[in-house]
Amino acid sequence: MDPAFRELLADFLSEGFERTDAVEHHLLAMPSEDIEGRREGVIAIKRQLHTLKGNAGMMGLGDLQQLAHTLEDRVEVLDAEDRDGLATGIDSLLQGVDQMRAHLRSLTREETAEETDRDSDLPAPPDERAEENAKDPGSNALSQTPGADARSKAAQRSPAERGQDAPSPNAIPTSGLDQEGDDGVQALGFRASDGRIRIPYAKIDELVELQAEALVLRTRLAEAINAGTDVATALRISTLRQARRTAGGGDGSSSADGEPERWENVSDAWQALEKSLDRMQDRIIDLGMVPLEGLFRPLGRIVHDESRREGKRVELKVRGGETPIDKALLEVAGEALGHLVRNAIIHGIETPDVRTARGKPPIGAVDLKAAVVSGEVRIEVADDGGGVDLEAIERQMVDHHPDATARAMTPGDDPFAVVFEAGITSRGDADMSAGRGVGLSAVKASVERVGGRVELRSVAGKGTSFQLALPLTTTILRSLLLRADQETYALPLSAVTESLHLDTSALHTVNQTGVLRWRGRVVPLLDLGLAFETTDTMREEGFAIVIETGGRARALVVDDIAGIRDIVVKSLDPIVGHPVGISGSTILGDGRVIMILDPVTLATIPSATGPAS
Amino acid sequence: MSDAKQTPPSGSDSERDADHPERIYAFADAIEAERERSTDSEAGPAPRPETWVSFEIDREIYALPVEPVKEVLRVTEITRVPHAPNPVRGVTQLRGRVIPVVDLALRLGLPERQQDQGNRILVVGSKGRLIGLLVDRVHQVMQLDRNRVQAPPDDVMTSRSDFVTAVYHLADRLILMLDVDRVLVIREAQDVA
Repeated sequence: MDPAFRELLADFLSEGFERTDAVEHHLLAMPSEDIEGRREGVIAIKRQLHTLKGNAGMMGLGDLQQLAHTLEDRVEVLDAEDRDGLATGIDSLLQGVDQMRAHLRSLTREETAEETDRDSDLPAPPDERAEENAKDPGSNALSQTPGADARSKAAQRSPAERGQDAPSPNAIPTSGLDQEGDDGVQALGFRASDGRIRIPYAKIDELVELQAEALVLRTRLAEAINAGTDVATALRISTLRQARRTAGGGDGSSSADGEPERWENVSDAWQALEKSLDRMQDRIIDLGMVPLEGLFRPLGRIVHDESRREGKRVELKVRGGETPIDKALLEVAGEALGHLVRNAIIHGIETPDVRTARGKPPIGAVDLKAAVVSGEVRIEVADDGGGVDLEAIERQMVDHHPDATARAMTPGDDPFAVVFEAGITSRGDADMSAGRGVGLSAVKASVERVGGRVELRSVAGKGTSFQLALPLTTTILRSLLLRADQETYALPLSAVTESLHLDTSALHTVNQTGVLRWRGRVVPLLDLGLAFETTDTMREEGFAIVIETGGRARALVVDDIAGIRDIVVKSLDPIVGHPVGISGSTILGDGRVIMILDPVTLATIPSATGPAS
Repeated sequence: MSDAKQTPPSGSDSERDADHPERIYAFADAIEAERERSTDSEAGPAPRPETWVSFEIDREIYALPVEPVKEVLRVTEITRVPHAPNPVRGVTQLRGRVIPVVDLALRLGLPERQQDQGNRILVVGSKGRLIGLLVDRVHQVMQLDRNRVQAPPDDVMTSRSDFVTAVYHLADRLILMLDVDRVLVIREAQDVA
């Protein structure tokens, strides 16, 4: 493909996705609009489709042009007066939107495949995420392949809904494009992996200015350092200082030989340079941030599809769409939000008649709120549904874990923590969308992997609220520095529950595993030296760091704690494999490279035998 | 295949080398000059000699094309990566970038051997990656004549045939020519230490 054309195609695709999103947005808003609003919506949809059609034609993409044209013609179905007719019309157009996306996606694949061929990066590491998604039974019809042609889609719908599916799905031309293989996130309608980001010129200008400033400061620093050897400069600076001091009437106590002054200059220049670099870093991190809005938009579609499937009526309210998020976290956040929203509709919100019987309005509410709070992005997904039935869950706990008595709940434990455990579901009948009890534990694991948290609050009968906290940036990680056998490691602070002096009286051996008795709980010990083969005996003095992650608690045993630092994450080349317990590396101030611990996989390393005693 | 007499920088040589850091820079300059030369002559007549870097592992001479070789480093502090595959010695940093250091001998399936002062890390860059290859010692930048390049003999190469794409006959010795991308390829079933 000609590079100029490829560039053009990339722009077209990016814009095409945006226009498709806009069409979907207007469609989803349609039912809650009045006549006037609907008319405006129809006009907006037509305009988007018309432009898309024109651009597709210019690019020589006949199939896409035809599809846009067919959809444009069918927008008339939205003129239906009755509620059911409108809903049917919206559904049929949404199918068209899905096909449009599938087309665009398959073009994107062709375009990026070519790019990869040309200046290919790595012998592509296996796409684990895609595999994870495929394995995740919690993902539903929406996250299936967009090869989701109308047939299979219709087949998957509930009978109730199928009855309303009046227009023949075949009315929209399907093409022979390759539509298979896609990941759930893309199916949610947002594209984290297209490798492009839009940056306003102003931000670039700002960076250029900062860089220019840094260059000036670099020169100033170099001059200050050289001043000691360059007599002329030293004299000049010294004279200037003298003059200033005389003018300012300051004391003349500073030495006359120039040496302390030289260092004073060096230190000034260095501090100024450091400040400038800090600002530059902030701006660069900022470049990697995108508003959450992009993630919120596809949720409207999930709410629409799921509530229809479930025979429920749900309204989604969104606040804080402008909240910035690190684009490296989009995928994790998107999956988590999709899951939580789906969860709220399927398990939380009751059917309209149940709601009416309980004295609630028939339309359920799912509230989405996002904000930056104390250096974290916090997103809340709250519903006004039935709440979590803890008793039912506890009954299941006993069924699933015959040894449950061993880990019976102790006072102070979060009673809702069990909801995140694999195999627990509040639903008797698992179906394809949710209810297999794997979803929430997977969400928790993936969120914790990036240094975030998920918590749950629920009031029976009133509703459920999930709190998602994600780090503001993935490039800088607040970490605890640990030492074991002369090696230093960085442990993300987000995983640390408590660190304590190793107290031999609290150490025990249970089933040949060393454990720590801590706050009435029994936590397996994991000696970092044993885990990483730098020693062969478990240390009996030092510190224990209690980490809790993915539903497991471990007490890491180390020699020493060397403080808390903000570290810059440096990823490891794939040639080192995926070492268990390691997520990356960082460079310390003295130039040493150290490993960053991955709490999630670290907790999977079997604890060795307990202390010899 | 080669005996000590034919190996130019012997052990004692490299010890002196350690006292004279400028040598290593001189070598880097030579690489730089060669690279410029080879890019300058890009438009020239087709069969030009190719520039390769030769180095020694386990008393045998290997060579890599000069193009991907970005730098030659002394062995400084290498941080071990726990549970990494065996040929990976660890990671080190190069101007703020963390790069893995792969023991080329182990990568080629050769036995582990004693480290010494003469060991060097060849920093090779390919497709956006930067990787350090640990070799016994670095020899020289040389012009290779395509006509003397031959397919590798079957018998010598069993364990290394994945990486050695050709051999070069010098007057009295053989140089094993490596394919950098094959050396850097990530295999799923790597031996774990």
